[in-house]
Amino acid sequence: MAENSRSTDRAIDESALVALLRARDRSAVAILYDRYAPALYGVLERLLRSHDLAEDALQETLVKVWGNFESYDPEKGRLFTWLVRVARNIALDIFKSKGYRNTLKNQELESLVDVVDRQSSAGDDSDRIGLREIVLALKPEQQEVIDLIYFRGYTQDEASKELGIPLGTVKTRVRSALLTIRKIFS
Amino acid sequence: MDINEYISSGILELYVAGALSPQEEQDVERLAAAHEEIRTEIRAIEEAFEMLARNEAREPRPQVRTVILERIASMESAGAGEEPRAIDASAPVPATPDRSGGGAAVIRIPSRVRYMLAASITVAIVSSGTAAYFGYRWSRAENDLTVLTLENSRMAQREGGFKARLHQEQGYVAALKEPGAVVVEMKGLPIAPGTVATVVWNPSSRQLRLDRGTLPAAPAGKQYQLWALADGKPIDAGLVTGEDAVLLPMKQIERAQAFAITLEPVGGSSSPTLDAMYVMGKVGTNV
Repeated sequence: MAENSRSTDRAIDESALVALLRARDRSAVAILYDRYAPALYGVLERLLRSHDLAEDALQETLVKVWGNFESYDPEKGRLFTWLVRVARNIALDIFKSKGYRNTLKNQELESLVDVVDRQSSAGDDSDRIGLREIVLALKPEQQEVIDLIYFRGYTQDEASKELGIPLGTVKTRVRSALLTIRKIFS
Repeated sequence: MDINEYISSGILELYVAGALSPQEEQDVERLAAAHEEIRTEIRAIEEAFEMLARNEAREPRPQVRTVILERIASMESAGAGEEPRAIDASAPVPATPDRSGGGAAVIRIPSRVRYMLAASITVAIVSSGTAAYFGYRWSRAENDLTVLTLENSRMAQREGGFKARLHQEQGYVAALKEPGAVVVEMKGLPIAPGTVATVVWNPSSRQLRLDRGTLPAAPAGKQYQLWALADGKPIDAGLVTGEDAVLLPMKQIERAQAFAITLEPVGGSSSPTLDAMYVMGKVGTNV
């Protein structure tokens, strides 16, 4: 099928991609995948701590995105923000499910097996800013709050309880952390 | 309200993360609709988050892409009212055969055949998607099996290890319980302070066994040798082999007042190298 060949049309911008998805143009799915799947997968893996479950969740996410694309409102935010939201909700459903704990039991071994898998498939890291650079720039308490709020799907109340700090402090920490990150990437 | 204060409160960062309650979210959206500065700020936060997430992106296995694309393709073609694109049945069918193309007539497929063709292509697409999906599940199941097999063999290995260890410990206990058995603890000499090794010796059966205790691993090209000292003369009691045997059988010894271990070249020596004596213990002083 044509959609299975790597999409070469990476040049189209976000609004053009959104227009294609709205028009239910299936060629948009491959573009969507190539552009967003790795970042979404990274978030999902961090949330679910399992490659297999993250792959399942990625699949469900993109199927849901395709099926419910009309509920995305570009006025409210960027496409990626919405995609992460859909992904996070699916991950949280998996997280709450019964099977999750059982799956995690095999994690130690699974990650052992996967280390071998992944070593051969490590991508091109040349345009990545080293995690170390971000880690060095953020204070530990900023990292903590970014991890909980942006990558683990905690609400502000949950983060406040988890970290034992007032809501106001959660807000100011997230704010200062994001400002630092914005500086790094600008 | 002060917009700048609102922006710097951190609420927009939480909004982008989806960490607000639905009520709070609505409030943010209402204010964003009214204030350009808030919208701009939200975009900037979203971009930073996207950069951060891209920075930590991970490539899923390549087959995931195939499965997802095929699943969506088959979902779409099987969906109500959607026909496969291979035959565009939704295009208006001319009421009369098209003769306008200067002889290049449009090939029209009779509607019943067209329907059947469409249906068969749908089936083909759905089943290729299904096959890819099951192929993927299969590879996952295989993966799970590998993990379980690995775990199983590890446990078997551990069980084997426990059994061997138990067997050795039982041998140790049996040796200690033998009537007439003497335990001689050999203590570290100045070149190996703190080191302890033990022999279990039965003068009546002459059986001698060594527990190498905390003796360090022998350096390359060297080997430990056990000596029995009888009437001031050293008698070779055997080479210390292996690393982890709990109780190592040594040469039979009839008479001894003391035991000692020296480090010798591999294969041992006929007489002990005294300045490489690691441990020594006298019979009867510490039983």
